[in-house]
Amino acid sequence: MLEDDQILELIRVEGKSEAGFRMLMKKYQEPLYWHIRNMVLIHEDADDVLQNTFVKIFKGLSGFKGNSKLYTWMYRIATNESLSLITRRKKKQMASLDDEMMDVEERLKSDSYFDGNKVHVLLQKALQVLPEKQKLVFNMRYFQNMSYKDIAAITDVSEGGLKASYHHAVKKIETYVRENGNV
Amino acid sequence: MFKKELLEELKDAPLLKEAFGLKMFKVSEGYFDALDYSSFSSVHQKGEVPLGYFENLGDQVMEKLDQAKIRKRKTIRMWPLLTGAVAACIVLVLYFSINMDVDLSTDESFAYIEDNIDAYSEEDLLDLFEDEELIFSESFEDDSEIIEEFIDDIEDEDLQLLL
Repeated sequence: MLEDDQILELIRVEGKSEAGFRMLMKKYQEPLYWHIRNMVLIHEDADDVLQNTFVKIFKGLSGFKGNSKLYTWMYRIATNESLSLITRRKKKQMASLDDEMMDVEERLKSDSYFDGNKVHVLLQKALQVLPEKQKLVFNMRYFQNMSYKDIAAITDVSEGGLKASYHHAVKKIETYVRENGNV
Repeated sequence: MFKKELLEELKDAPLLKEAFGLKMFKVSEGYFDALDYSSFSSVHQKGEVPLGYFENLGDQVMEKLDQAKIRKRKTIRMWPLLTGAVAACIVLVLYFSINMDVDLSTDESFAYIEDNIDAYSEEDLLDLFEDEELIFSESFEDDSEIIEEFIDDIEDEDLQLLL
């Protein structure tokens, strides 16, 4: 597998840009997919967001100056696209938090690509209680095991701020799971 | 070593610690093995995707890019209408902001905050700041590109509604 710089060079060569872009997709489609899936939960949504993310990446690549790492930039786009979908859905539904949590449960249960048990559903419901930023940090740290350094590069938040957010998220989720564990 | 650090952070959250690393979804055995993404080898794979999903993704994205190019050409033709609508919106906002006197004075605002600050816990205040819209800078795009992206993203029926 080529390094990111080499792939970028290939993309900039006339006539080879599609091959280069496919290579880039091959390299990053899975980590980006899981990052998105952890945020939007449902496979169909993740598929949609992932495709839009790559379309945006493709359109933006010609202007990429390399000021940040390529994967950091791609994660930002994937994060923004996921948050946009979540925000659009929230605005459309205008639902209460209780409705939202019920909705998550129903959507997960009806997703044929979700194979979790009741505890997994409960964990996802607990996540809905969190503000978006805490949810994002929790997903990146707890599920994707990313370092604070990498999360900081993607979110532009100080490592100290991220640690505080993660700490609060863990505390809230633990409390929720403990209090509702009899589902 | 890194896992130890992650678990250490969960020392006061036994339920989360117990669930840490458990696969929330299952993956067909060996499904991802053929694909190399060494930079993210530590990323957990959780979930199930349709068979052949990643193999077909490239073609689907390329097709979407072609469609986007066609949409962009259509959008350029709608520019004059759109700029007219934006100008009308600005005039309306200015009109209402001049004619509706609903602002609190600075002193009143400070007084309100002083009176009510104790009603919120540290966590409530933290949440308040964290509820801000999270959109991260994708840095190098200039404004015209952002406007083009924005227009590309508007559904035709939404655009009609706006106009």
